[in-house]
Amino acid sequence: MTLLRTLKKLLVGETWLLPVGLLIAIAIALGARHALHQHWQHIGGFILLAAVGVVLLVTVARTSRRR
Amino acid sequence: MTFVLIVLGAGVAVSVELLEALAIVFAVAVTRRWSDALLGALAAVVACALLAVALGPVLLGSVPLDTLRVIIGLLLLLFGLEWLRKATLRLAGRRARSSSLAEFVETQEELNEAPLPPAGEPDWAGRLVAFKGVLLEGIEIVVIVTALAERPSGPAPALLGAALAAVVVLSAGAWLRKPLERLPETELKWGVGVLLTSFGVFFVAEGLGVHWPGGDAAVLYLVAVMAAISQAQSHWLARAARA
Repeated sequence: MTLLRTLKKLLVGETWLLPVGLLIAIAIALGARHALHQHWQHIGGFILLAAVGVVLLVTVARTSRRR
Repeated sequence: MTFVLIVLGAGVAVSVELLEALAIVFAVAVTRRWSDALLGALAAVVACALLAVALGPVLLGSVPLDTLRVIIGLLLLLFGLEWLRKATLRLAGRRARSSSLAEFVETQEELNEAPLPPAGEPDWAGRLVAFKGVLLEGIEIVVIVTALAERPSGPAPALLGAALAAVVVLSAGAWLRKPLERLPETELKWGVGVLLTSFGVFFVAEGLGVHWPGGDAAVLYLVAVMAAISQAQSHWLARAARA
């Protein structure tokens, strides 16, 4: 049981917020790639960077409040 | 420059994980018996080596390059963001600082509850704790090093970083306990979190067809942005806690 719990922690971390947030960030990036066409290759990286930055800010803020 | 960053990222990540694994093995050895601790650790090392041998060629041989970049980037982001989240909270004083010494003490306490079998009989509790500890830290090492090694430029920097870390940490093992008290593990883990997250963003974007301004050097400004976000938030949280 402890091993299973530790394996789950290893795979998804301590909070589901992070993998879920990451999935949303990737979905946003895919949507932007579809909408921006050829502009994507120049600004797409910065859109992804901003989305990942927001994921970090939100997960830190939420898990900080929980303690 | 990317070469140096990958060596650094793989090296520090492997060092930190190895330290934690070593602390667990030492705790089992000191509390129980060296032979059982080493046997458990050795079994976990074999399991991790088999995983590494299976993972690398399968990824390289059967997945298209762009998809591979996205998969690797996502793995790095999952690990990197988790390390960075915890480190940001620790730097802000919202979570206990990281310590392999604490891991050592916890393992000793965990084993105190199981009676030690007489000499000549296998100590399964000790073996299992050593196996579990080394396996879990080892899986993280395999995933991080494999991900950093799967670059079109080759696996050399990731393997070099991992090998250097292994040599340094294992040779330091003999006088492990004292240095553990002095290591700035929280700051090291924060640095690894920043590096892994930056490489993750870089690879996922490349896999989705992005051309980064500056090419591979883009990793440098990605590192600067992620470090700035994390530091700003940890300072803000620390100030809010004091207010």
